Amino acid sequence: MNFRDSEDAHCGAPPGGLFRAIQNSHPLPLSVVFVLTDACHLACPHCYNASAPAGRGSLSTGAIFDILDQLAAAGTLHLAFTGGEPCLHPDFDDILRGALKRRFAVTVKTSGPARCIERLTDWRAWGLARVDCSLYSLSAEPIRVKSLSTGENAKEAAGTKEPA
Amino acid sequence: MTLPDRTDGCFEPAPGIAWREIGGRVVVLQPLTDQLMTLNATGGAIWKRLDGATDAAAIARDLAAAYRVTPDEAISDIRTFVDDMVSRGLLVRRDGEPE
Repeated sequence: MNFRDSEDAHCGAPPGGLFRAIQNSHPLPLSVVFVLTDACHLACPHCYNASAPAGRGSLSTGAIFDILDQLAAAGTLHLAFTGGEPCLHPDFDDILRGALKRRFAVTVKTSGPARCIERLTDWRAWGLARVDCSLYSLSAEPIRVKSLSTGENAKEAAGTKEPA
Repeated sequence: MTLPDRTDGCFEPAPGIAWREIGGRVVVLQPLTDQLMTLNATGGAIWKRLDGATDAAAIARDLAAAYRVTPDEAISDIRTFVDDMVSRGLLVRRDGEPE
């Protein structure tokens, strides 16, 4: 007996046909980007979120779990935790486990601080499927950024184009 | 009724598997393979009962009562379903240890 109506491959961008079909027939927040904190160990001048080591605070863990419950009830399947540096949230382990327990597929978007890398084995065992790591340079040289208003400057910021 | 070992015991979604019930259908996402699937009514009815605490025989009794089939018919479908989902990495047997 066949138990499946349909199947598709989606999760990376862009979403596949089934993902779009679900969204078209049921306008739900199927994939959500969740800013856990704007605190970050880096202070990149091009940061779109103006994140910095001091940060401006973050929601309480209880408030975050309440939002996760609401998103689960709304039909959200995929969560991307970002920041700031999401791993700097003092309760990040609890939040990640809470999200996985609520049956979200989770991506962690990180700049890869040591405290994140050290936890990857445990997080994988819990069910974390994806880590997106931003890496702008292999050296300690400051990244020269004028503006991210054009594609050329974005390439420069990413280190794929020599600065003028 | 006797179940083969592969489908005996209590099963639950594997770690990292995401799922929701959307528009009356169970939608399952396997993020490691980017696979998204919707289950039909029978598959969804079985999936929602796979909570890591209810074994196949109990689910078969429940479905037999709800869908007017015999327990043997129900358990045959459950066995096929669990076998398929385990082979896809979507279900795992609950080992009985507390989290």
